[in-house]
Amino acid sequence: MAIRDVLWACPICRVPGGIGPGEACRSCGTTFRRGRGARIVARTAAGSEERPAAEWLQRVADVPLPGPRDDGSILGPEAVRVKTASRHKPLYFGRRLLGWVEVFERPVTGMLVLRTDALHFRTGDGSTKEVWELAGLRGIQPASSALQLALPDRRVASVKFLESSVRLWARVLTEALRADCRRRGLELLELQPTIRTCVIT
Amino acid sequence: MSRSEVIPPPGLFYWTVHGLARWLWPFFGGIEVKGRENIPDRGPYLLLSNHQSVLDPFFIQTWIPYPIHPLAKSTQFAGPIFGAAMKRLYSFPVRRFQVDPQAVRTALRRLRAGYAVHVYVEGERSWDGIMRPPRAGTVRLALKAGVPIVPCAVAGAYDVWPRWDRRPRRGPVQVAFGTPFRLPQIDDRRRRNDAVPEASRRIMQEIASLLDLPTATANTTED
Repeated sequence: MAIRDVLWACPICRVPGGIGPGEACRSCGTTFRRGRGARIVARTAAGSEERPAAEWLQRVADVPLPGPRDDGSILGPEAVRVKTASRHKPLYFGRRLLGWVEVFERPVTGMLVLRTDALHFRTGDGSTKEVWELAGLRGIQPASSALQLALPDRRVASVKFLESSVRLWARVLTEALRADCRRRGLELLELQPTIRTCVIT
Repeated sequence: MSRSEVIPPPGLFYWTVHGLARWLWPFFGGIEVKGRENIPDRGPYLLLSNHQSVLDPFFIQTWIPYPIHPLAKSTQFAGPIFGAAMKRLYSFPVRRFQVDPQAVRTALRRLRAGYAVHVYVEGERSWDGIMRPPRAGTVRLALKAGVPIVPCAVAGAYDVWPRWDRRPRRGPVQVAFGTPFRLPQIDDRRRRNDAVPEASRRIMQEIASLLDLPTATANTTED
């Protein structure tokens, strides 16, 4: 959880994903911090400006999202910590089944790349390589600092961004998914709790 | 009342956590409550509220003089200590990456047994302090259950601890409970789905009007 998670683009220079570690924009150098209540203060060379988060977000609402590059990638490579859950454990209250809880494995750190057709994750030593095709994703949910994905093989992945904005990734991934659906003749209807599509007539 | 769903009475832990906000928050900015007379003497009912901060459960439940059963994301039950505490606070889990029939079953069972169930209608905390429309699954639950709905609004909690910051700050908080209302109970799945948009509007309006909360509109830029 950080200001860069809510401000997915720098509201001063309008660069998507501009705000990095230290809550400073890598593009224009503006620094951000929490002001009074839940207001955000932007400090530039020209001075300081304090606004509610909602007003800063209005400023970046029309910032174009990154599109595909020449190599087919859209976003990344980005440092992430990924943990996956492949099973669920039952939760009891007394003898009564209360519900089910995901059992996450140990997190692994690596790099994530979003391409037009899939998310590619690999660890630094190459011991783990995963390709999650967009067509197989079953759900997308941005948490406070992690993007949670329902994968095709019934697994759940929680992707924590170490230096980037979770909401930027959620937005760009959603648009990539929408484009991927259209290529397959489908319209994206719902993302949560599961992705729902319909055939374009 | 279904005997199999009778749940142990609350213990010292529950009442201690229950009283935290009321006892402590006056020293951290104050907490104002409106509409306590609208809280029913007993369940079953659905308490539907907005969600601004991780402190909301403390700010809301402290005013309800008996245990209320909140729906919480399943990952909060993963740790042994926190998970055990959640169960002692009568929470039950919902998996957010799939339609979770067990969460619906548990909610309906508790309502049928006469308990009150609390659901944050937006399904997550607000990123910018603006209230989002209810999740369709919550509205379907309300339409299926057919129990009274108590609208509840929280304001000020976003300024105390927004989702994007690591630490809370002092600040005044307001909590309001509205007059209970009913939605039609609809058993047929297709008719229930058809009724979701209108019921969503009603729920959002009932909650937002309590404290004049800003809500997402066509002009709101965030998703």
